[in-house]
Amino acid sequence: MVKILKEYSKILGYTFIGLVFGASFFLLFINFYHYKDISTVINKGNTDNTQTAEVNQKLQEIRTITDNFNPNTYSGAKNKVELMTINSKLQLCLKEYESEELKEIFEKTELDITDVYRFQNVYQSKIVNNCVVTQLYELGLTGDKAKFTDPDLLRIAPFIKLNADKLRQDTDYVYKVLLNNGSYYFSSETSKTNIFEMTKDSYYQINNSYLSSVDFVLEVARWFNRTVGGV
Amino acid sequence: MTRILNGLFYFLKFILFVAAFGASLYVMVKMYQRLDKDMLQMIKVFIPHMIILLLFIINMFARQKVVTTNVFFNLTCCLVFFTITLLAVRAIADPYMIYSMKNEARIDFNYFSDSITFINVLIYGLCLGDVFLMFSGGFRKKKKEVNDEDMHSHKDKKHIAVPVKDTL
Repeated sequence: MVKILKEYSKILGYTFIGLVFGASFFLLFINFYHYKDISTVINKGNTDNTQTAEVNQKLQEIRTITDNFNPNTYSGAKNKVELMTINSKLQLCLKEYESEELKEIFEKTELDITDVYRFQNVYQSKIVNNCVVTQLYELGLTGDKAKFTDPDLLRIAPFIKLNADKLRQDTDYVYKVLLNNGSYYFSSETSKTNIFEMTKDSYYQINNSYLSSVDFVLEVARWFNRTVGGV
Repeated sequence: MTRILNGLFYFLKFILFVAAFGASLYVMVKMYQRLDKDMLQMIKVFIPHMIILLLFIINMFARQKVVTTNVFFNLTCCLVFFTITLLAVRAIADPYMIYSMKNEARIDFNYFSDSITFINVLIYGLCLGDVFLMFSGGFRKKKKEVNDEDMHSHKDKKHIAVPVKDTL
């Protein structure tokens, strides 16, 4: 009887040790995979050169529009103070787009996850907070909250509000994913590579949002240009 | 060869145990400091470590050869403690952990707290394995066998106690 119990005890002992051995190896390998996943470096190569050229062209157009507007020579029927305010808002936005931090990120040819996180932070603070929310969001207010009385502006206000709201939350998901990159889940490599590559997809998602914001500011600037009669 | 490997893993498991315990303790102390929690509450996280250490001591002093000379057990211990050390080191020093960039302690507490459950499961598993192996080895019987021939030939010498061989 004692011998049988000892045999069972031995079997159970080895079973537990075997399970621990397997679980430990699993945890070890999943950690190596996780490290590999978050330490991925993406090579942008020359793909960003075309994008930078396009963005610079758009920013140049905005600059031309804002520089051309001179309140002293403006002779239209619009409220000059409102136009000056909108013009200065566009100029402030332009200043944010030309910040050194953003340039630094776009000049890099290789990016790791910390660079992508920095890009998200800079984009969020400079473009979304300082430009879209602080400067342009006011233009989209209507009704009692409206700060501007220009009927042309009120006509495009819903478009401005809609875009500002979209940009405000556009990279929230990416931010959460990046911030929690220490947490990993047990998925197969195939599903993970097909669904979301943390460094690469996060970067391009933020970048797309950045490009949308440039287009948005350009649209507002073009509207402004049409409003002031192209002067 | 097996004896050499066993000896290697046997000593390595103690070194790795110290490393795993030290690294985990460092992360936990920093975590509790940050959360401004009572340090005494931290003890419960290290209960499995205490139990396994106690079992190691029992194995060592009770000369449980079925455990101490078990290569597979020693190898598994090394693997478990290496994994725990790696988890703690990654929480402290992995440069790609974004959360650690954000907090002052520069430690990814989220990552380590996710791993605490796994650590406990692994150590409790080792404890269970150790206990079952101890039972399977049985308890040492202290018997003194005296050879009659020796008794006559070495009258003034003290009789040497010969331990009975382990049955397993």
